[in-house]
Amino acid sequence: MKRRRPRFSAGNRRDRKEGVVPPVVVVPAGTPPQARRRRLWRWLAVFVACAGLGLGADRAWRWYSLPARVEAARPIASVPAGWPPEFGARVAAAQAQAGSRGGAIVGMAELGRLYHANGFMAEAGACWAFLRAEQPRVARWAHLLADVRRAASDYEAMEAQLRDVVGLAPDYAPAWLQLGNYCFKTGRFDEARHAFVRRLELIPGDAHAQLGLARIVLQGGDRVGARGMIEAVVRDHPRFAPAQNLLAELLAAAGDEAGAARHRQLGMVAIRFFEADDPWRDELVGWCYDAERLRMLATVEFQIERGDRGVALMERAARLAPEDPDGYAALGDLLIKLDQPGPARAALEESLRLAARGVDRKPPVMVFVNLSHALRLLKQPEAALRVLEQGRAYHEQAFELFDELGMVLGDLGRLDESIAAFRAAVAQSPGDPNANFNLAVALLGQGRRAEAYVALEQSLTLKPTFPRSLSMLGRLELEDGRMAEAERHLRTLHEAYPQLAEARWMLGQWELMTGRAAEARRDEAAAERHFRAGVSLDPDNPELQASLGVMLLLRGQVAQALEHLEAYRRLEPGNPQTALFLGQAYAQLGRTQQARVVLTEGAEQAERAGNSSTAAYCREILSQLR
Amino acid sequence: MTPLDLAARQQAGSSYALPRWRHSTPAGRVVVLVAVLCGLIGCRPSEPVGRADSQPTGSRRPPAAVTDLAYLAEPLGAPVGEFGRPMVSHVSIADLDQDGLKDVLYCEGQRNSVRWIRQSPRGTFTEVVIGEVAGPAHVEVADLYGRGRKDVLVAGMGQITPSNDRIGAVVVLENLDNRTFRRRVLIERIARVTDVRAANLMGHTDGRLDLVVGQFGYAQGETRWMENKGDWTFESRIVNSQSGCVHTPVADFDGDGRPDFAALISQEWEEVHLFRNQGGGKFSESIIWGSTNEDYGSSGLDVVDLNRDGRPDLIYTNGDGFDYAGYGFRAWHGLQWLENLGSGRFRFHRIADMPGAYAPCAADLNGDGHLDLVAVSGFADWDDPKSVSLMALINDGTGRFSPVPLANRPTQLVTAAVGDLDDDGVPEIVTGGFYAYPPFESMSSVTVWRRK
Repeated sequence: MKRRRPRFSAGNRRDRKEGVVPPVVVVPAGTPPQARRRRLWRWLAVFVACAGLGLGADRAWRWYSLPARVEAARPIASVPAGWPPEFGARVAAAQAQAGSRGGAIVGMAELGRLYHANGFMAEAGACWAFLRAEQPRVARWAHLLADVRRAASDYEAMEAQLRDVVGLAPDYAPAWLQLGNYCFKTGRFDEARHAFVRRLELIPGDAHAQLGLARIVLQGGDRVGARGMIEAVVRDHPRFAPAQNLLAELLAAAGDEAGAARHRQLGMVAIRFFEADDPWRDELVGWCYDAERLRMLATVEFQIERGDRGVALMERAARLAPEDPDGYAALGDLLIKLDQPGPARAALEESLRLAARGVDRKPPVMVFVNLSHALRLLKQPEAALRVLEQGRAYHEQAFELFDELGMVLGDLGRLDESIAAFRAAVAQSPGDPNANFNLAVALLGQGRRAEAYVALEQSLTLKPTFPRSLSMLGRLELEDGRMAEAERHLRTLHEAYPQLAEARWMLGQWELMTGRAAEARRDEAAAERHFRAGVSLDPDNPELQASLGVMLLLRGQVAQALEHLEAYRRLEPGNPQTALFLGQAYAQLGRTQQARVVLTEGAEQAERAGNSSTAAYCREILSQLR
Repeated sequence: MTPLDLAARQQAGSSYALPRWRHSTPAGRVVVLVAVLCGLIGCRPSEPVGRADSQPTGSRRPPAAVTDLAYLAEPLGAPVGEFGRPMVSHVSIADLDQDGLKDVLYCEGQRNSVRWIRQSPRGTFTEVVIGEVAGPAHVEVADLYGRGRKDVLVAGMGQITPSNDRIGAVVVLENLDNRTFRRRVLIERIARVTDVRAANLMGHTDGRLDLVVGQFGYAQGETRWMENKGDWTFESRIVNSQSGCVHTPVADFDGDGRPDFAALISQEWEEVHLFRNQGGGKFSESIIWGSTNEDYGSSGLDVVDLNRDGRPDLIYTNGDGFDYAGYGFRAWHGLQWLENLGSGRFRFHRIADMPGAYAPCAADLNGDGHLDLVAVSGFADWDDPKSVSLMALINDGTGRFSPVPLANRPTQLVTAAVGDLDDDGVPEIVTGGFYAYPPFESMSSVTVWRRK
């Protein structure tokens, strides 16, 4: 960068001494030029001296008055009881540093971070406002102040600060995104567009900004244009759930149900929405001593598939409040979800140990349930039973405990008692899907099918798409030949969970069985319809492929049969029947060489398996090939 | 939950301010510099230049003192025990059978039922289940065909707890004779429905009413309106494809004589949209306001002319704590007023902080001629016995609202309605309890609050 040369600097004077030609000064005629020049220089010197003195005085005054300003601005709120001592110590140290003349700025910054990160937003706001005044060209303070204003729902003030941020630090992309979003949400689309474009210049391809631009187009009524833009977002960012979800609904509204279903599914498997990175704000987590907040951040990390970070945050939260049973309870819960029963057990036992010390609070019911679950996973059902008995001393009527008790008793082989425990759970919470499902499984274990049906239907009261119950009901109805009831459950399951392989397989089975029933009553059209529907649902089902292929082959629609018989052969390459059917199809289509190869393989496979009739059929067709 | 309670934080926030010295701001320093320079060169400064306001802009004026306001709680309808952990998702006050006495209708999610607490005779309330709807979320009455009988509109979520499945339905309990109701499903297998309102959007002249339908869904949802084609057939038109629609209040917001509607879109969007009726089934959409805080927790939107300027305003709560990142209240939960400035423009006013705020509603509670506000709390620090579950905000007539805690128990209230049940000129408050999370203590199903 070029450095501007001072206009009235010693350098100018040095230039003159060294014989450099001075600048030409035009002066009125009639005045001696030297006198006029001297007078001019004298005035300039006075002015420079005055300016210097003024600036010096300002600096001196600011330096002198800094403690007073800090004193007036510094939040005086003391840390309430219950916070970690380390937090109190850091606040006290920062307060002291802020009170010193040399460390005022650093101290106030530290104080602001501590307050902000721990939810003392008014206090944080005072620190950032002070720093804004003292260091008006530091964008970070404005940005953090904007965040405080946002937390106070003072959005006008937030916007003012964000505008300062983008003025002071035009390359700080998070501020552009926030500004763009706020302008968009208050209907100022031109300003929003400008902000989103600036962000995209800084972070090319950014999903958040692209979605913002697409939404501006959408608000302008151009649904087709917006759809195209969102399609581009999901192409580049397939895991960006808001774009997938919005695209799904736009497609549905345009009548493209297949496309909508596809993107709904992609939206469902995408990780949950999370805010764009904001390094200046995000770094504050390092100053956080609020165990509750850390636990919340840990949950978010788990939900966006960063379980290890979640555990680290949970552990930090637990360390911050080593006497708080809730911290270990939350850690244990997360570890159970991450399928780590050993560490989960340790955390949950610690939670119970700490809770036992307190007199005014009973441990939450889920601590007992989770600990029992962990012990079951560790194959220690007797220990799990003891934990649940302990839990019932605190929560006599909690249905969660009865439900878990049923599981434990089931593991111990005490089936009657298990059923009784599940019934007790259901009595407490009649619509609970898990408890009803568990009861149904236990009843089925004793062959009490009719009662199991009732429990399974009951489990769908509060969650009509509860997958385990739908699946089991569908299976039972299929076994019992109640095809209409089976279809109702299996279609619901498939519509709710199209990505679930089991849902596709079971509905495919229903189509197979219904098709076979139609075949048996010689309703070929219906049979074909069902087989085709089944194949489209579950193309990897060999029985479906075989049923459709053989039906078409027998009808003489050999060309159509071929693809299904090839699929059948591919899915069951060791089954000589697949070779027999495929070989016939090849033979009828005149593809003699392929027929010979397949039928030879089939004959050999059948002979090896002792299946003489299939082997004989294969040999017979082979003998007829020319 | 958080060690400092919010009120204490507010107090702390108002107890200090930046120094009022001129030099504390850039503008102030300019004054000092000019004074020094002018002093040195022998001239006086002119009038001081303006001083930037160094007061934190987030601070709000302290509320004015309020006269005493106290209420007595009475359970109404089915007791808590009938539900175990009640899930009363919505309460509504209406004279369903048009006998001149106001009744209470409500939705309950544990039993998937819509219930009518009929007042007859005056002061005697009897509850009947008038319909079964999976995951009922909203109930209101409207005469859909101008037959002189009020039908019951129910938004069915399929299930109350989060689900992305297309299990929502719009159900009407057709009023056959003010006693019996016929269940009609107008649309089903759609994203979970959270609101249904009736309005003559198409300008029908035969008494028919169309419907506005909010569908929260979960990750995917939408907002639609349904044209009443007669004979219980409706044609759907989707006007917004965002998930998280909570409420869709209807009013003539732009004053052109045609009913418009607003939509509160929560989830990660946190926006209020306005759909202005252009006539002929056309709606133009605009965004009135939105929060950039994706965890804002939008929870309730209702319409009322709060400043009585003839233009319907919106009152709006954010307090939803059913968040995926851990349930509970947030520091920014509270109430706001979107003041209608006309022509589709609104001005945002933050009214008060309130942890877990839900169900904004308005009535002149203290009889001073100004509309006050009521809200309930679904999420607060229930370990703290001082946490407020029912709050009034008293309007001094100048747009300033003073919070008056009315109750701490029962806890976990997510729905409220205000109306003069006994026609004595003093409005009652009706609330509903919803217990998805612990503590499962101090529970209620439906409660009526009468002024002492």
